[in-house]
Amino acid sequence: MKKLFLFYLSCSWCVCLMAQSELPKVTDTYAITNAFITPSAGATPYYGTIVMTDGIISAVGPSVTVPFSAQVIDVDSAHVYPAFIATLSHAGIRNADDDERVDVDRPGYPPNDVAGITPEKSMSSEYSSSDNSVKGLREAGFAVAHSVPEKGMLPGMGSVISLSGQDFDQSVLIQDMSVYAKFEGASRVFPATTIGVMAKFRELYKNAEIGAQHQKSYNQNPLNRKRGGQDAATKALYGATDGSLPIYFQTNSTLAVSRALTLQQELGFSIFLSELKAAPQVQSILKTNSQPVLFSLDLPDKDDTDDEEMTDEEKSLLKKKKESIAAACSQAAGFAEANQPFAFSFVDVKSKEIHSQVKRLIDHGLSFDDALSALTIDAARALDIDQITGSIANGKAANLIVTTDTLFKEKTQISKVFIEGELFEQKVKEKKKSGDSDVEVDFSGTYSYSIDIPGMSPQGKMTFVKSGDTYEITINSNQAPGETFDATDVEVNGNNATFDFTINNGGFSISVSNDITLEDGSLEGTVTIPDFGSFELTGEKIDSPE
Amino acid sequence: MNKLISTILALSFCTAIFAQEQGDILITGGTVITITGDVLEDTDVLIRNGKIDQIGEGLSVSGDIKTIDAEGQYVMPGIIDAHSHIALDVVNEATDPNTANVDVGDVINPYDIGIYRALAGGVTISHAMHGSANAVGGQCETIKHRWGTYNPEAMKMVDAPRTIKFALGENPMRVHGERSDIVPRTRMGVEQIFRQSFGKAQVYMEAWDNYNKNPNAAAAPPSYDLKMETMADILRGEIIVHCHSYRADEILMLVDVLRDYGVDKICFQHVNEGFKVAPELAEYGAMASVFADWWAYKFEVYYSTAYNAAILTENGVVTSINSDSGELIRHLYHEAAKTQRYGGLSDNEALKLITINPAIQLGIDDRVGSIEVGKDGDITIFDNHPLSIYAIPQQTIVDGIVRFDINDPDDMRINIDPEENISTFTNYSTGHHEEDRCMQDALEFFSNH
Repeated sequence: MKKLFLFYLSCSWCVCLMAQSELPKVTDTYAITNAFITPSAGATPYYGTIVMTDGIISAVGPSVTVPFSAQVIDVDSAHVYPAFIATLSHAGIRNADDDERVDVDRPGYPPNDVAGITPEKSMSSEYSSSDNSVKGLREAGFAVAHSVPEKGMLPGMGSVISLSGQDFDQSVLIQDMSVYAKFEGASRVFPATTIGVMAKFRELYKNAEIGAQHQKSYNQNPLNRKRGGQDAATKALYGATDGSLPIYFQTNSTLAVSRALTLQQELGFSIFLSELKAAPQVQSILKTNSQPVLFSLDLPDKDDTDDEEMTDEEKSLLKKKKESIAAACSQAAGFAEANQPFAFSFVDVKSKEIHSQVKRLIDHGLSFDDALSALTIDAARALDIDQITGSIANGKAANLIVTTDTLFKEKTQISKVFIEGELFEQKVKEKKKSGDSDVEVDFSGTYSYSIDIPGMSPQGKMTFVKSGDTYEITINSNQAPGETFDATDVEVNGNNATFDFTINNGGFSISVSNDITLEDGSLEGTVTIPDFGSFELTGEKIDSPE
Repeated sequence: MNKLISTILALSFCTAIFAQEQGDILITGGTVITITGDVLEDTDVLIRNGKIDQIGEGLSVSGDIKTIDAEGQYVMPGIIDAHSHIALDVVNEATDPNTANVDVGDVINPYDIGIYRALAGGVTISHAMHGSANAVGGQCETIKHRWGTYNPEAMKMVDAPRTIKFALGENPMRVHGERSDIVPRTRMGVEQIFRQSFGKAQVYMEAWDNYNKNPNAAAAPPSYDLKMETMADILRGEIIVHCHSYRADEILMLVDVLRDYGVDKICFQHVNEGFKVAPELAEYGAMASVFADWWAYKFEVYYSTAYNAAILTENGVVTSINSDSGELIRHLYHEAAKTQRYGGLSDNEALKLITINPAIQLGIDDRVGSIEVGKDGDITIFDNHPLSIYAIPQQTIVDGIVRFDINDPDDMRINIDPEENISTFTNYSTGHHEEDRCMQDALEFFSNH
């Protein structure tokens, strides 16, 4: 498989990609015609045309003249919406390996970076445009993301970034516009717990206040004054103390909300409560007219446990649990009903699940318009970029998506994403027969398979051995003779199986995910290789277990 | 960006001003154990707006009022536990021998079912304490068991004095000496932590006093140090020290340290060898919060006696009996009764150990701990005399609101985790120091050298 991977790197496939990006564009003017346009959340859709020039929407309406220089994209009655905006994300942040344990002489006084206190960290040094998270959000329909570093109690500052895949300096809309904070303790050094984090936060903030004030008076009259001088972390918080840097606080429960507001009330910074999860009564804590809260889309899993065998006590526990799940999914709807502003945060949800999770919120009473609004114009307002994006209007950035059907329907797919006028085509797939969980199928046996990658055809054998409720799967590829790969994260649901396997190649490893359906002895599915794409897999059973 | 900020500044949050609910209740015909006065037969207690309004026979009240018929039952002040770790998400910040900067009031968890279990044991107030991993531990919080609120701020007993946890002996020595190879590795080192911390706090206070006297001087302002701020507040007498302790020699050591620094608000916790130094404690005005009969769970806790509470009491030390446990807190009245078997305390002396005395130790005896007009309407109603082995709490009232009723439904949880595993197994923490929450969040510090 190593060879397979090297093949990817060296084969025509990549060359082809490069060639593509090097082709000069014929025009910077596009016209989307025959579109069913929803210009902004809540607006009535209409048939019309959108013209984009140099990344800006230059005309939109039911009867718009298409300039002769435009490349016309006839979308044949497809839906067009404003592209989404991620109010909070880790777009472009590479998944960091777990830090090695650092030995600190005095655990009560670790260096700031060991303690997770790096509010000075800027996305300018953290952002990697080639990270999957950027592509993932873009494929989910996002044009802009507010992205923040990830680790520690004060991971760093957030920047608003265009998701077109260019490097940071070309992508950034607003640099270092926020501070991100979490109740995340450090490992075995201060602050290790929430009480430590809160104490440290107070101390840093007070020192930032003192430092900012001294700096100001020193700047006015430096003669005969000792210059201040504080560490980078404290200096980075000066902006928070005068209100110019809002703090996005991870508050994933009612208690976390209370704690963050305790700090906010004591110290007086401006706050966005983010990643809010199941948080009963949070509405009454916030009352009305508060700032937008950002709901997490990492909703609790459904519980379909069969209660037939259960005792009465267990049944009543299960009932309460289900009520709690429903309450978590209904929170956004409750805010919408009470006219309390909200948007979403995307730091803890897989980009591929965003649409299905939004659909769950809609199933629990959130209106389509409110959902779209939270993903577009409300998010833009929260980030103060609503002048330039968040809806389809003349003069705004050409950030929009074309979909195969109304958004948030089960089968709707995004076929095109425009980011500042740049077109990102997406392969719309006929939904293959995705697994049917009601069918009981025994996967056991050996299958031949081939993967449809242009220019090459990896083939091999895949063996499923039943092991308890699940399977052990081994893979042999003709690209890597003599090597056997073991699948991980095997999940079987009816006639559908998903699993990963890892190719190690020198310094880095790549996880390849598989999603396969078995019907009448034939395999059909997709293989997804990060950074390369998804490919069709087909296979036939060649051997049954004895 | 300006727009954004002005929007945010215009907002108001309302957590701190959450109204703390107060109720009206008339309890009629019970045997009222007032603690600070007589036992009153067939007497009514009227609570208005959460405060005890009248005590007397055959009170007549105009208008509708919730009435509890307590005929044949015993009405006593809500039980107070001076040492507990219920309702806390974090107990130890075990990263430094001095963590005076942290405050467990930041991590009150109002959904902890332990609160309701405590109410079912008649306990209306507990002292939610930081653990004993550090010589100077974190600040603690006196909480009222207002079960049903989602807001941690609403659990706090507003205006109760600040308290802080200190710890002597093996726990801080193990956590810091053994694990991190820093002071304190010995009992001598523990003493040095206190002396150094107080000494630094004096220097810190002086630095700020000098700066504040003349803020336009050439000097840059000193750094704000939350740890030193708290130590300074102890020196100023604004914080009551509650010190985890076992051995008599160490107890006297801390008295000496506090005397040197002019700190006189001190309540020793556990104090298993307190009986050896009871006169010395009484002389300094030090108080003691003890177990009824619990010891031998680590080396420094073998020399103990069930007569401890009685001996301390007889020597004039303000003494209470505490739980330090989510299980014991459910029957502190049994624990108090043990002092009648071991030491022959009177009914009232025994009940003081779980009412007015812990209130004194927490600095809240002007508001709770006895049934007196003007005090908070915190009441527990028992079907038998609370020192009887047959006593079962029937209703527990906090600020005039019934927070526990023996006829409550089965499942009284207020916050259900949507991702919980359904299980009917209830993990009552049974043992003592196998599951001692005093060292919660600090255990990982032992596992890895």
